[in-house]
Amino acid sequence: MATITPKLTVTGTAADWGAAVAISVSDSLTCEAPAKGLSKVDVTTVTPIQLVAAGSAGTTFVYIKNNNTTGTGYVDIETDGSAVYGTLMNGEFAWIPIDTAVGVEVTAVNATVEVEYAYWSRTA
Amino acid sequence: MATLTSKITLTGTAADFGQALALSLSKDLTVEKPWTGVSKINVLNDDDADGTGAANIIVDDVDARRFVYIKHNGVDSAGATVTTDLIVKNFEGEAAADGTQIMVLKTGEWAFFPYDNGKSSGDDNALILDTSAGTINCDFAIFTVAS
Repeated sequence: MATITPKLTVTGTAADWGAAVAISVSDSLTCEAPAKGLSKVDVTTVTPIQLVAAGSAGTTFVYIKNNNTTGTGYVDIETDGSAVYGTLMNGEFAWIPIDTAVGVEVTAVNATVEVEYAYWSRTA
Repeated sequence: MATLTSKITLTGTAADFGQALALSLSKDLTVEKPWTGVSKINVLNDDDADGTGAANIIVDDVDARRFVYIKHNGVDSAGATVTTDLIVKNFEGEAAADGTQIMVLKTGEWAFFPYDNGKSSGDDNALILDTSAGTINCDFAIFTVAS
């Protein structure tokens, strides 16, 4: 077993928001195999890339980033069954405790997108 | 228009991972109305998007891309500690059915992700929370990303 510490901060100025936005949250997660370290893959508009296959019940913590910095390509986040529920534009990232039963895959739209990703399985 | 700076760090030790995990990155998001600042909701144990389950809807009209923050606070509506699962569901026009369960969070866990299921034509296209049992108090925030 291994411990991963994810931390998120989301900030905005009082000038923009009326009052400053200051979300800060972290956690300490006990994880086990299967896991995949920080990886990169070119995702095309043709074939979805399966990051985590749909399997048994549980949670897999997934980090996904659209690693492109320019261009019109973006990446759809979808279940292993191709139901799209989110889109990452250039440079955007997500932290998703996905339901392992539905898995996760990505497909590029408009152009090939370099996707950076990693995942860790929560210890049952 | 407003700017939101999102930053994530992921850390782990070399002893655990073979080499140290040390990822840190940030991204500025240009955000527009509507947005919902950090809010609290007592999520009910209900499978559906209609009836009492409608109270669990946090995004009820999928007409634009949004970034969503959700956190399981580890207590129920009365403040008692719970260990039950917080479930996140994507509904695509099936208000009386169960939607698709896409995430599962335990106590203290959080998610930050873009949401847009591309099905804006019905009011039961929604992002909905549910519990494995009883109620769960959670934090959430919704930010509409400028296109």
